[in-house]
Amino acid sequence: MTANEIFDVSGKVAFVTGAGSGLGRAMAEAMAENGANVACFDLDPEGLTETATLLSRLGADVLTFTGDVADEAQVDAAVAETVARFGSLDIAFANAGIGDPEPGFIHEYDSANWRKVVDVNLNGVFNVNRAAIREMMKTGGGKVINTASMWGLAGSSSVFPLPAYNATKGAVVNLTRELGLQYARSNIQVNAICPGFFLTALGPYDDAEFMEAVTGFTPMGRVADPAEIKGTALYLASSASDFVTGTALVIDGGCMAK
Amino acid sequence: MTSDVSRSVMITGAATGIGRATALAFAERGDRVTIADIDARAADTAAAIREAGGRAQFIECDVTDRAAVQRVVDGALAAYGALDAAFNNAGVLPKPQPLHEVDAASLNLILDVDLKGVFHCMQAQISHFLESGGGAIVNTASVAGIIADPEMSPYVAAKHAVVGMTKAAAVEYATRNIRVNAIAPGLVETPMTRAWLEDDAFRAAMFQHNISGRAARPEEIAGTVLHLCSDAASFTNGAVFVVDGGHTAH
Repeated sequence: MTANEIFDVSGKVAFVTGAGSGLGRAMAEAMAENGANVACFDLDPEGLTETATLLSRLGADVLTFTGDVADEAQVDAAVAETVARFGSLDIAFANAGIGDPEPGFIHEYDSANWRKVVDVNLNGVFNVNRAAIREMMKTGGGKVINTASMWGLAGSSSVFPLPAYNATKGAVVNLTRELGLQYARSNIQVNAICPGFFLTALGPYDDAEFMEAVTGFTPMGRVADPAEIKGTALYLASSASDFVTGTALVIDGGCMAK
Repeated sequence: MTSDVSRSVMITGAATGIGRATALAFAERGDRVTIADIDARAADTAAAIREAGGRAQFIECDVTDRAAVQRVVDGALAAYGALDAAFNNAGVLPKPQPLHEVDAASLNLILDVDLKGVFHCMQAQISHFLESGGGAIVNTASVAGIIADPEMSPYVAAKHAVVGMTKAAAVEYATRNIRVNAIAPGLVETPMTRAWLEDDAFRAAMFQHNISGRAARPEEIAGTVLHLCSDAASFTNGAVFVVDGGHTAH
């Protein structure tokens, strides 16, 4: 296997949730740039259209699904349609996620906000993993990549309080470990990415005070461009990671090392 | 891969196993490879690369000798005009021994090679990267840098230290365009582990909780090193990439 073949995903079929913006769009682009066909799932139809245009220009065949990952019927239907149209599902990015609607301390926390975050960030990942792995069990293998967060490995309140986000991302990390074990002998690798601060809509990066706080927290002294997730996405989606499973890769400019 | 630019890469411990497979993979993508090893068989790795049309040199080096490590960095610069990335992979694996019976010579050998050797390499490489404007370093830790195996206490200590040194260097040079990461392989089929893998009792014990049920081939580690050394990992710093078939997930 040559160095280029190690990272090859050409002809593969990828399913990406949260593909309408940010890291999900970058993951979808990484797949399309390397020859995969991509099914894009997002709540936001306009973002999906923009992503689809980008991917089509790269020569990929693209499907779009407007939907909510918290709704298992919508996820199941989208995965089924992807397989029907593209013939298989080889790579699944369970990436859609939201932050705490009202970041704050737990003694003042609203129950509906808590359930909303759990619904998207944890139940959504469950829905996507289950639907994707069902297909991969039929075809004899695949790659599942869950977007957790460095806040799935540490508390965040030294910077700002995100109790629901942190709880759900920690759950994604440990769900990933468990599924890595469950499918280790089924040729399905299940791994998580734990991003640090990336310039996406998830944080108020146009706020100078926020920007100062996050760059000050990050040893590299900057936030990342979403495109900087592409390499990790390709690594986990390709045969480069065939012996990697149940792990959580930290891409955070050094935050968790300090 | 995102970059087709040929880089100059230094690799220690490339006579066999992970280092050799990774050196071949770097060369395949067009990088110029400087191989440093105490084992003269590493010259064969360089020769194999040249026979395949690639560029590689071998420099004999004992990584426990800081001056010898410096000569490797200087040699890479002399031959290829640059040093852009480094894979500090040289290590020794001791025979299993209960902690209370480990002799001083055995303890010192592990700490000298697996811990101080990596430290020496980083010192020489980072000194250069500070002048050249940056670079990427990948250190070979191990799952034994995260968890413990019985009767491997010096190795576990040294590999935990590699993880610690990796984080320390990553944080220290984060704003100077130097990235430092580690890989943590599980059991890999190499000459270093061959005796273990041929031992039925060892295999039974090893794979009892290793759900993949097999060791990795050295080639299965190379992709991780290539990724971490590349610009595709531009925001990855101070991280430990585990490549163990799920061994540490349980």
